[in-house]
Amino acid sequence: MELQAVVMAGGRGSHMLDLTQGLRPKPFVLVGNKPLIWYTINMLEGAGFSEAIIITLNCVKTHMELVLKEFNMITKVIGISEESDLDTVDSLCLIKDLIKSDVVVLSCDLITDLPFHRLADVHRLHDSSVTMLLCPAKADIENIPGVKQKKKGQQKQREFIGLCPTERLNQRILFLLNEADLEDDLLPVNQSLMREFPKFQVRTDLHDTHVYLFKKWMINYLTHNKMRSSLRSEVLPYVVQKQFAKSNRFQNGTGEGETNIKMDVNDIFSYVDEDSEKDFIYDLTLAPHERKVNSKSITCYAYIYEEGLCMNVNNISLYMEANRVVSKPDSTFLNIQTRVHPSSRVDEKSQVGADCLVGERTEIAERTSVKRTIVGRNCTIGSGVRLSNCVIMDRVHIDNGSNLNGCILCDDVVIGEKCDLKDCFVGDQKKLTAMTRLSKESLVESQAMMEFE
Amino acid sequence: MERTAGGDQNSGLTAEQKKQLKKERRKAKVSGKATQSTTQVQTSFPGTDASSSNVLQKSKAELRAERRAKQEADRAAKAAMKAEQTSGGSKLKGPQVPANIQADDPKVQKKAAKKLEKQQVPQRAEGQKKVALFSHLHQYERSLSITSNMGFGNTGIHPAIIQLGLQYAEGLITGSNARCAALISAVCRVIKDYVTPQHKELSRDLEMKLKPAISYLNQCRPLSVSMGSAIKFMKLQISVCRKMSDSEAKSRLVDSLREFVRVNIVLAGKAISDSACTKISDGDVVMIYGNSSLITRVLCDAHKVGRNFRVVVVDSRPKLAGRGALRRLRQAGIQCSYVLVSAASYIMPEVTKVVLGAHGLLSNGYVMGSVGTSMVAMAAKACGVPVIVCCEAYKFCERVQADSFVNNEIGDPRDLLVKTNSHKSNPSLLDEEDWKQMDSLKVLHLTYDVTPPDYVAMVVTELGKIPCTSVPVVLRVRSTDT
Repeated sequence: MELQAVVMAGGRGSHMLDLTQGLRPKPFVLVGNKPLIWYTINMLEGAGFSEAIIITLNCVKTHMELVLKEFNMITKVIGISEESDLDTVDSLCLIKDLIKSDVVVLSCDLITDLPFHRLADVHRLHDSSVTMLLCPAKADIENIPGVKQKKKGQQKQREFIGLCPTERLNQRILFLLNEADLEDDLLPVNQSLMREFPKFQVRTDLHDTHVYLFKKWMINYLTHNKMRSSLRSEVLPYVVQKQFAKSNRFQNGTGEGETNIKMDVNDIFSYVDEDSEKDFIYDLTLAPHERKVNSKSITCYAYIYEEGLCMNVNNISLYMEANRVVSKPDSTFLNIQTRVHPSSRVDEKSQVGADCLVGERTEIAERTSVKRTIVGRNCTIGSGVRLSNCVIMDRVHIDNGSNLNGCILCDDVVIGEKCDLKDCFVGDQKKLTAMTRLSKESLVESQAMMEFE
Repeated sequence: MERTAGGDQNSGLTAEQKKQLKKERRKAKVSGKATQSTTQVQTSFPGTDASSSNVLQKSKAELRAERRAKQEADRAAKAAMKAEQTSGGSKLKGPQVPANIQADDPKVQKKAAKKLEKQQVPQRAEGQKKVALFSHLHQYERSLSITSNMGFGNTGIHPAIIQLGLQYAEGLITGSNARCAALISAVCRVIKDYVTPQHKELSRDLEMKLKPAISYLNQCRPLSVSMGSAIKFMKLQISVCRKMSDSEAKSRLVDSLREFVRVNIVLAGKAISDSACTKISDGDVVMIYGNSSLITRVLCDAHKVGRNFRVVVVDSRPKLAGRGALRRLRQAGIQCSYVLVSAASYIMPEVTKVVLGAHGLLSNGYVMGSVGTSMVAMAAKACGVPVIVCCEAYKFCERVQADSFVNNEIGDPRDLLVKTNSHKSNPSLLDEEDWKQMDSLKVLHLTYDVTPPDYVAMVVTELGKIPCTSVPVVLRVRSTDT
């Protein structure tokens, strides 16, 4: 077995609480009428994985297994309880006995059309300890539903990624820092890094997609050493930094045998597999090496995917964007699903645009125009309704004459007659009376409104 | 006997008429008019006359005579052909040409593609804009989609081999010794993970498992001479462990493969280094070409022993491998100069010796090395500078080649072109866009070339210092040893 896939679907979607409260945690948020997790598993199956491990919350375990029945892959669902508040590293510790080879850790909110073998090739080629997937960061869309105004001065959390400028796309990561961990607006750079790579590029326009390929010894290190709890914000920057750190082992001298060196549990270098054959080959090869690479060193590489679609559906802005992209006429995700489901009834006098999706058993009355909208299952849309750039979930009822632009309507919402909503977010089971006119409002349960910065 | 001209069909003849025809034929035989009767047959096909009663007899006799005439004609022709052939001396079958140098023959390529499909090895896409003179060699596209359908499961090719193929294709592991050592290391891992399926024998099944692996590696990058030698050794070892238990056979295989690397690369390198050091004297100016793990080792060892010499490193585009050699020699503290191959003849009067590494040594004494080696050797010969080639004995191969056209490896033409950037720094340099647009422009990137034995003074191997032409002797000695 070369590579095992682990999907982290236990998150609660804390950045888009409006969408993910209640019985709809992040893996089941619908994008293009399919749950988010579908996209991840679809990609894994297309890449040639025959099995995957999915870590999710206990309450949705059965629902998850239902969704997974659609696929041919052998999937193992591990449930964690909601109260335990386990983070990614702790989840890995749970499954450490199931891991027998190198691992690719994905988050459930990834939507991409990346041919996965390209990322795996970078990992195989350089024999790197960690390989990441980077994609160009997307700016927020203009009108986010439910958000009154863009908070002035709020910068999106940028990531400072230092890369070695080589010709090819598989770049060596020299430096990884999140803006949140920045102290005093200074970027700390290791001196040994500068010695090895006197010229390197720091980019802030790239986004880490939280796809990580780890070598097996990394998993051993993470599970024995529980000092860190989050892969993204703690482990990765630490490992990237350790590439250029001196290891204690080196300082012990070359003459000592294995038994003399104390197994320091906290020292990452004691986990690295030493391979004298590999050293011999690195010595013989005529390829130019930027640095004296040997099997004892830690290396981190990244693959930058710029040609296609790659996004983490993390907040509402990206959610809208994802829906739009998935329903585009040339989207690659729709070959199985038909645009307008055969069981739904669309009146002849209505117009449903080419980039719309209509779910099962939905009824759309006459003189309705539906543009760039995704309509869920079991909805009833009255006559004379104009829907533009909306996301409508299941069992929604929209009365005649309403006009919705750029809105998100969650399950079981009822919109009265002749309403006019622009850039609104309407939460589950809300009912709006007739003739309501709202703009940039967010109608959700009160506890979800508290958003801490 | 009257004959009727023309006529096409045999009318029905009675038995009497047939007997009469037979008599006639016998008469014709006796008279000995063999050749005449053939023409007679054509004209005498029966009409409806009475004379047609003779016709069947005649036709039978004539048929027999016709057959005999044919036989004699064949015999005569064969004799004539033999006479021709003895002067020509060629077999009727024709020479066996391997498929990898017949890339422009669609039939051969179809067969090869079918073979790859059977082994479930993906085929690499052919490159565009091949030079016509080298259209018989494969030129592959760079973008590696060879692994796109490989999956990550247990079936098919072992991950160590997939990794190795990628490293070969991307040029991370280059150089004959490195490629051979890496191959053996990967095969050891395959053997370690190998489990004999039920009802199958290790010696046969393991070989079947290695075949697609080797095809895959060949697709990633054509096998080198050193790798070929290692594969031959591997196959021999596998066939030998027939009557052993699985674990014993596996450990024996792994040990013998490691021993192969130790003997043929490490120890041979040491022996060659000791031998060649005696040839480098104080005050020498040694010229080397490109990068070779063996040559840098020889020079570093000579320096350690205390010889006082300086080195001129000759390098060539696009690989610029000489820089690696330069770095190593400088790390050892040897005084170096660096030129490109276009300046080789300019700097040759200063040089006292040329030491070259080889990719392989061919049976007719030709030395196969990286492209440009023959230029340096020729320049050296013109200036009267002795050329010494250092090569391990396992790189000797039975192939015979007198030019670099028949068999070679074609690299990516884009390596020779300048990288496209939006504002061209120097518009007179060709970049990828120009290459794609100009139909008549074809760029050739060769990897190897052959140096004739007249240019080489001596070959230093671990078996001693031999002339180039003694390669078949060494091969014979080695084959009797194993």
